[in-house]
Amino acid sequence: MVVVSRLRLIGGSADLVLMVIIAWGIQEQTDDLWIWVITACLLTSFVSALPNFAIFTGYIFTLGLVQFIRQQVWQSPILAMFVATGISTLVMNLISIFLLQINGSPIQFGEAFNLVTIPSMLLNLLLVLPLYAVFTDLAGLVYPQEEM
Amino acid sequence: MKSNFSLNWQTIVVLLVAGGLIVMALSGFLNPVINNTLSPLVSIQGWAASRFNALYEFLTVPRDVATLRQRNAELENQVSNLQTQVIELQQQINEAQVLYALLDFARERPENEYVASSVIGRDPSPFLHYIIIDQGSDDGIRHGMPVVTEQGLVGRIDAVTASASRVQLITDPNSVINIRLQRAQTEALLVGSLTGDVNLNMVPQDVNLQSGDLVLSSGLGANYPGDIVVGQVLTVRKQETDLFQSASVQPAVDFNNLRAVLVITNFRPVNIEPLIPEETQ
Repeated sequence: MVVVSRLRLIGGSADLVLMVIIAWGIQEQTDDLWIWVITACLLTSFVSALPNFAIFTGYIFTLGLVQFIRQQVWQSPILAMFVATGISTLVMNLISIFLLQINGSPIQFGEAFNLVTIPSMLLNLLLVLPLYAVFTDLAGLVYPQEEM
Repeated sequence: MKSNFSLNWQTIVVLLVAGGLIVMALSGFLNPVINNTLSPLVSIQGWAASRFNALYEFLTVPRDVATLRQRNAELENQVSNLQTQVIELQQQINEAQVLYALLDFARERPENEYVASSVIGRDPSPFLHYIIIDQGSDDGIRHGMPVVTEQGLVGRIDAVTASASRVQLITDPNSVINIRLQRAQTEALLVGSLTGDVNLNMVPQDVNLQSGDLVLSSGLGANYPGDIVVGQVLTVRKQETDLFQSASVQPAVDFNNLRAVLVITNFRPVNIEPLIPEETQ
């Protein structure tokens, strides 16, 4: 996990916390996603120098998006995960850029979008399939279904 | 009397025959006879020995296989334990090498007080370049203290908890350092970027900036101590129409393999903002 999170593409890197939230939330058995979102927000805001508002807003948006997409695209969870990953990464990065600029960071929007957001989105999308497989198995273990 | 005589003759004849046979054998005249006589016996002996060995192996090998398998498992277990020990020792050697290098650096600059610390994490945001170290306010670390390695300047303390601190690297987009070019004896600004590259800005056009020039911290602004190696000029960008020339800098520190750092604890940054006239702010 650490190796994957340190894998960089240009200026972007995979957001494993975000991906784990999406992969776990997209499983139809799970109903405790908000607990993990709050935990992720607290842990990330403790470690990261990003404004806390950006972290909380981004992850809570992801929580709402996952719940919404799970209801709308329930027949194809893997497609739902691709959509949720793309939109969440985009929103999370846009919030980060916006708040960093407000805080006085000399970040150019175009540069940040091209060098960080797009590579990060690509890396996150590459992680969708393996994480979906892992978390589907995990959900099966945590919530075993009774055979009829 | 007669029987004694015949017995002597018999003995003599036997001795003569035996001596003759020995002489013939030694001289090689009997080799064909010996070969023809012994070869069937050797064949019989070989056949019997092979059958005996086969029977012996059949009766004894299964027990040996079980013993060998057990022994093999023991040795494999021992090998894996030894390999683990080798890896651990190798890691300890690497850590010791890093610490020895930091110790040498600290000895070369006895005027500073240092706290050694291990790097235990990195900022997960790709927009920011920060590391987390395992020493905090309980160890005397305060906000703004400079962080170095034996290679050069790393950054400065940005946030502190009781047992950990966050360090802003010089590659961070928000990082601005006053530097001095050693050869040109000129001051300029070193700024970080999103991609982790660091660039020199505000270098006057008349300065002869060359690739390979050493970049040191200047101490101006009171955020960092002076004369700490920051990096080397990589490529110079100079256009006649610009007010200043700029350059990309290769940092002296390898930020991808940063494992241990030194925090300079007797340096306190000074907030000089109240001293700057409002018109220039």
